[in-house]
Amino acid sequence: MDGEKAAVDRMAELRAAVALELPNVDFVLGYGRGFDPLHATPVAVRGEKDLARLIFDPTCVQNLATCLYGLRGKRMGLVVKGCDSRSVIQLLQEKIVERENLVIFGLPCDGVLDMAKVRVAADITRVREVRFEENQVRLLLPGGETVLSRRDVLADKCLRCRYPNPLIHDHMIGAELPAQSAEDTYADIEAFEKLSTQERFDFWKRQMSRCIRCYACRNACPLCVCKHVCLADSREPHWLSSEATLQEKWLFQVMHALHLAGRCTECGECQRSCPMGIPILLLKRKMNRELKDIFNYEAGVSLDAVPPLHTFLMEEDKIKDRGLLW
Amino acid sequence: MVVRFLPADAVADQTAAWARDYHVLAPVREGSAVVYRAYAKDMHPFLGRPPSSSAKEALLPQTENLFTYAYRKDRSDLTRTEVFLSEALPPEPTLILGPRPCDARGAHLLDRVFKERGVADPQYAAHRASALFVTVACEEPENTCFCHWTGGGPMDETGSDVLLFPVTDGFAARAITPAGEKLVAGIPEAPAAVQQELAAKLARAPEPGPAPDLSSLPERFLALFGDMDFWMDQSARCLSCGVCTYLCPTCSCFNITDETSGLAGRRLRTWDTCMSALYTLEGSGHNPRPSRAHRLRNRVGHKFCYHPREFAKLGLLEFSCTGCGRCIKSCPVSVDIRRIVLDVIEAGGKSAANANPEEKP
Repeated sequence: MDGEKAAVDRMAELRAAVALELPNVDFVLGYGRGFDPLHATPVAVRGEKDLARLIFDPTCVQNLATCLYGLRGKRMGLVVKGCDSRSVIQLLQEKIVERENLVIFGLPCDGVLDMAKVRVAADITRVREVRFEENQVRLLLPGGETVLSRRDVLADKCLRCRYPNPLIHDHMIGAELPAQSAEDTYADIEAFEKLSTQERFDFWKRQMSRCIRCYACRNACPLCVCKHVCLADSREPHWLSSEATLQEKWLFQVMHALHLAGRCTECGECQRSCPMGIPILLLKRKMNRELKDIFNYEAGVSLDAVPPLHTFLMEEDKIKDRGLLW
Repeated sequence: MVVRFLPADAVADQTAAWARDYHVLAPVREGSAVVYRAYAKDMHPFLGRPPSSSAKEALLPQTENLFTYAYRKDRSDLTRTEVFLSEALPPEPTLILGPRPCDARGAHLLDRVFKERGVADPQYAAHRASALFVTVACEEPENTCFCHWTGGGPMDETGSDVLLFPVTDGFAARAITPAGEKLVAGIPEAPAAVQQELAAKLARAPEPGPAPDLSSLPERFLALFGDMDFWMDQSARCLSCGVCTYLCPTCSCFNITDETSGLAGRRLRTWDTCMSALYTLEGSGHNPRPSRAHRLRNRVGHKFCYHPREFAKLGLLEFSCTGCGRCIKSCPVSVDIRRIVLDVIEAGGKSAANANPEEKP
């Protein structure tokens, strides 16, 4: 974690870079302070007067690349963390957004909060002040100060982060940071798969029963680009009914995970956005681990890569044809 | 009025006692969420924080079976088909434990929509008649709370049958309605110390700070109705998901669909959200609210302009919002409806002459 001076310098550098690019873009999308010190909110910087609104700290949890699909065709600047940059790469790879319309401000990031973890650790509904230190997060609450260990409240993706530095950028702001780990071992998936089928089924039944079908998971996903022509809303064909039953809720999550196989960059926006705290990223990680095993592929790390499910080989190394002959 | 004392460690037993007579929905902690669950043995209701969702589910279920239908062919004349309908069963008496005063007030606002527009909605009316609210009064406003902006308060009794006030080691319980009296009859009267603690609490009720003057809001909103730049700016970050509307204690929109299988089916009423593009998508393909700007404008307009104008005949300024703050707290991108409302008052004052309604509310 950089010191306070480094943080101030970094913001000055970001504001200067944004100011430099403002004449070339319609606006720059970055982070501003939300309704309290633990919440950030996306802000559009249109002129010099908006520069002061920009912030960057571990409360900047959103992946701003989510807005790119809706803003196609606009010439805009975008502030990205390392993980967010992978969504940008994936969107460019799928030719959903155009590189020449984008000015990317890359911010090396040493982790953002998982607000679900923070909410479990402390009653943050009346938080007055937040201070981020090297290993701790200090919350000033009405009853006094609460100190949380940073590692306990960072998002899981940050604890295993391999790409703290944006993989694509026009401006890199501040010093690059070391990765948290060299490899994703998918330990969470391994542990989950040790449970029996019945235990796993019971787990998901319990979790999914909380779902309110608000589709925040879908709409917050930077790669869920069907938006309002989603098959979850289709009456014809009639894949899902409008009932809030376990079956419908579960079917949608399975569809979501399958449609993101080989595309999902594990930014975690689906899970973060869920108002009911359902751990749906687990489903996407399962798919990604399979993709890694079978195709040795990882989404959103290289602009030139061809996603394995966008192409095929006559003979795949790891897919047996089961000996069937035509 | 009699004050009773429900010790914290007796809440589970009391809930079990209520569950003998009622279908009980009680909040439990599940990870970062506080969820209403139907009573189950060994349940430990959690009353320490407001539930993640409002208590609306008890009055307007997310999915409601309105009736079932079956078609039957006339064997002697195959051109004739008869339809048989059977009504859904009336709801069981339901007790909702753990909503906050803002949630209970939400029921009062849903009544406006479903009971006070000339025709009472029979399903809603049946749920409402059989529902009891055992509400937990609030101690200190959260960062997202603004009930005092919209006519509520941390100890507001509107819509509640019983109010539970947090005191040392438990709750001081006070019945608000005759039905509430019945609910608390088995709870012993509070000892003097609890009575004193409650009196002291009521005497220094939490001061949520001054509320802004919202009386000009309906007019200011109309003045700003056609200013799409304003609404585009406000909605730029919105994801168009349904979190705000589905967690809202007063959002009342629903969809009606038939789920048919073969010759039989069910007619369902399910929650709908005006934040979805599909909400206003017409059969022709035309959509009168094509953008997030249009849709966010509708959500704000309904709560702070159309509803107050419709019910102005009652001689009061009433918003279709209880200030519970869930739409702020759970919004993935932290859209703050308070900020929007204040911006409407400010910008609407400047452009009062520019009203150019392109869509009738």
